[in-house]
Amino acid sequence: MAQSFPYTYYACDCFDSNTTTSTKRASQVVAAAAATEDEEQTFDPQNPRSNYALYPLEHLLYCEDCQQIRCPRCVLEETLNWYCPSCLFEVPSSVVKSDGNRCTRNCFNCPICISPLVVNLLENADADQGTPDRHILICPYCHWSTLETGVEFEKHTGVYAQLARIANGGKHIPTSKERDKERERRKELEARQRDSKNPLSPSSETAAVETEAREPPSRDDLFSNLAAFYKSQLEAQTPANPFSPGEMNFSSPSAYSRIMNLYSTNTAKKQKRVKPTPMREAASELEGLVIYDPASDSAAIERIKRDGWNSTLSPTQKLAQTNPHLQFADELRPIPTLLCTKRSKRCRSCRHILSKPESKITSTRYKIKLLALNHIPRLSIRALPPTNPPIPSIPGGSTASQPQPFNYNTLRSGIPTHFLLHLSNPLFDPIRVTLATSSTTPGKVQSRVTILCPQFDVGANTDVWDDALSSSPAPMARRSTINAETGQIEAGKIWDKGRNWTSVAIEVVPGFLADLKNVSGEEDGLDEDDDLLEIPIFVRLEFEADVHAEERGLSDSRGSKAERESREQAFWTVVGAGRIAGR
Amino acid sequence: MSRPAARKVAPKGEYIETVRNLHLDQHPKPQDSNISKTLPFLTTFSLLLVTSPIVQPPFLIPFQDSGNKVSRRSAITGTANITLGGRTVIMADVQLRGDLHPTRSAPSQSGKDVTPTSISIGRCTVISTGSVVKPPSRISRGVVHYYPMKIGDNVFVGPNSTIQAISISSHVHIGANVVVGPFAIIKENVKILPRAVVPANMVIASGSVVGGQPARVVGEVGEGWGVSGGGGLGVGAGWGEDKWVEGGDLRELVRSIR
Repeated sequence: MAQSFPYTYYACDCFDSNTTTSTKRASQVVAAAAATEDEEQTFDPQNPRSNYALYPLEHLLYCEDCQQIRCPRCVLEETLNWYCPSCLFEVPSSVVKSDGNRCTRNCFNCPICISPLVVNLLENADADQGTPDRHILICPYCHWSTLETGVEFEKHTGVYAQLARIANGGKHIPTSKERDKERERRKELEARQRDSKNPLSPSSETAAVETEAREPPSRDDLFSNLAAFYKSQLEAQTPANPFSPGEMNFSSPSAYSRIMNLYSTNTAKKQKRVKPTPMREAASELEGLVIYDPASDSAAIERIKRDGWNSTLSPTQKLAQTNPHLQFADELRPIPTLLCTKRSKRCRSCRHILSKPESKITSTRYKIKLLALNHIPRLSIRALPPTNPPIPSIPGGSTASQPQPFNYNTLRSGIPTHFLLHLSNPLFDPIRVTLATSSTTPGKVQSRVTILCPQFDVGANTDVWDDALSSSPAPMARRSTINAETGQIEAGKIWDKGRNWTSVAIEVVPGFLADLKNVSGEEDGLDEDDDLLEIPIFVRLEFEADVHAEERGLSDSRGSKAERESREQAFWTVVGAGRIAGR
Repeated sequence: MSRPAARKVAPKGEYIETVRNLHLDQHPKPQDSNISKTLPFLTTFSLLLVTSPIVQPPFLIPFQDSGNKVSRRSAITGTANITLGGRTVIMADVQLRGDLHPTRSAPSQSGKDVTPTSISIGRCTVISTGSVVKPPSRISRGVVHYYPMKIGDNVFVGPNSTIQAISISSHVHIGANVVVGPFAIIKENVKILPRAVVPANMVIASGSVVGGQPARVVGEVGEGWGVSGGGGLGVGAGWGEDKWVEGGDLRELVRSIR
């Protein structure tokens, strides 16, 4: 886990609450039944499902209408716009539809290491003789360049368009129009051959075709052939409709379902309708049929024998390519940068907008942003310093003069360790908090946990100056919670308190890792992260709020007389207190 | 290129000193630094009034109390070319290479010798121990050219990082042991995970989380990035750690460093 200790995650119960709705599959019913059973139990952070329910507070939104936390799973996202993360240009949605979700400017990623490529000018020794400049894409991180695949560009702009015309090795890639023409030419040629087959022996023309066909068709060729074939088939089947353009006809849903019918074995549905006459399948290369050629495989094997594994690609590299069937490094193409989106988020149950960023790409502001941070108290944990609180230390900023910082990664088994739970209240009303946890943590390593003061009040988040101006009694000294005689922390008393925060002590006796190994009798009795000391804590808040608290800002005068209602909020949190040291 | 002499050690001996007068400031002039050492306020103040009849508050406020905290154990070269926005912390063993300034003289209108800025750092930015901040360079026709780099407000740079970005916007959190390659552009609200290596020329769009070697975008920061919890920071929460949020206002953190 990348997160450093200590951390706090908040559980969103959207999955459990959603499964109680009527629309669910059989498997979910079972899960829901299990979930209701679980409700009585402690939230288990080790449960595989918990991974999907736990979020840091910053990632959570809050629906004011449902009065519930909204996690990324229980919001609906709506794309506002697309932009390239590299050149930060907005891409209109029409272009996204036509050209795909790739940047069509100069932005490319390295096919080897995916860092962004830069356009470099090749050294031009004889520029005086009028040789044009040559540009290449080069990776500043791993130094891969398009020179390795034999691609050079004439200009340093519009690389995407240039790359679309150049195949690896510098060959020309035909455009779709050229492809169509070529296909027509070859079709005619074939037709003529068929006509003149009988009287004449194979002429020189057919020989030319043979040699041409030796080069296996590229993926793009095949696609365009197949597309053209299906289009012609559809045109032949459907009565000519003068009002619909051919393209529309081809990509219409009805045509799509017809094509899919070819492949479906399920005929139950078809019998009801008038059965459409099945279409012919592609039968030749010009129609998009590709016949498996064992020679290509043996050639690949030979090549691996010769060049070794280094010439092959890793699965990640393959999958990043637009054509995922590449095998060798010299077939790599620069990856056009994937576009990013700006999205607004809605509550899944009441459809209210929870967050809406400004649509301008460069703007980082939000029009609407309902954060859980402003509605849910922030719970944090940290180790209780053994003596006086040390001088404020900066994380990472290690200085010699400061005392040794608490090492969260080596908690000692069996030795009671004190932590402080710190709860700060973002609400404008004082809250009454009840914390609950099971006496032992769930999971294989059982640690004993005791919250020394499970019930306490947290002050309202008033203006900082209110606190200073009102002559409130000084916050109780934290020493008073420590019993003078025994030096132990007294239970039932809060540790410290401030304007809108309260901290309580929690005692943890980390469990033993060694015991578990003996019990299971195996070396690998522990899974990864089983030695984590994660404490699930159930937080329940009670507070009285104005009924129209949201509109307080608009009508402040009325707010004073507004009726108050008592509200309640409850949720699970998981605090990561550290890692138990093995022996 | 005349540079101010090595900084005199302030008498109050703490590990990090607070720069209270014109030291690494908006318009450092070589003669000012000498004067300001002896008579911090009056002399330079009048000098200012002579040169510009309208008193500009943005100039004066950092002048009176910039709040910058620069460790005496930091290695800063070319102080005249470095701008600190105020309340900025430079920790021990940090290298700020202000001497690597643009040599290509900008066409100066008035004919005066304008001090080129090589590193400008915004307000409430923290550069942690052992980091190196070095302006990016490019070799053109056999000559090395340095380009001025800009770091925004509320930027946290973790310990032992190397920064050669051309621009880092505000509210950026850079973890420990990060390498940011030359000419990288980091936009607002970006989190760079520890040990990431940001390749040269990379642009990191705002709101991304990047990590890995080479760095790639691995996620997005939440909507609550930089929003301090509990409406206002946990004032008086006790220890320095909890008072600030990654990407948020670093003022409290700056205050806690002494």
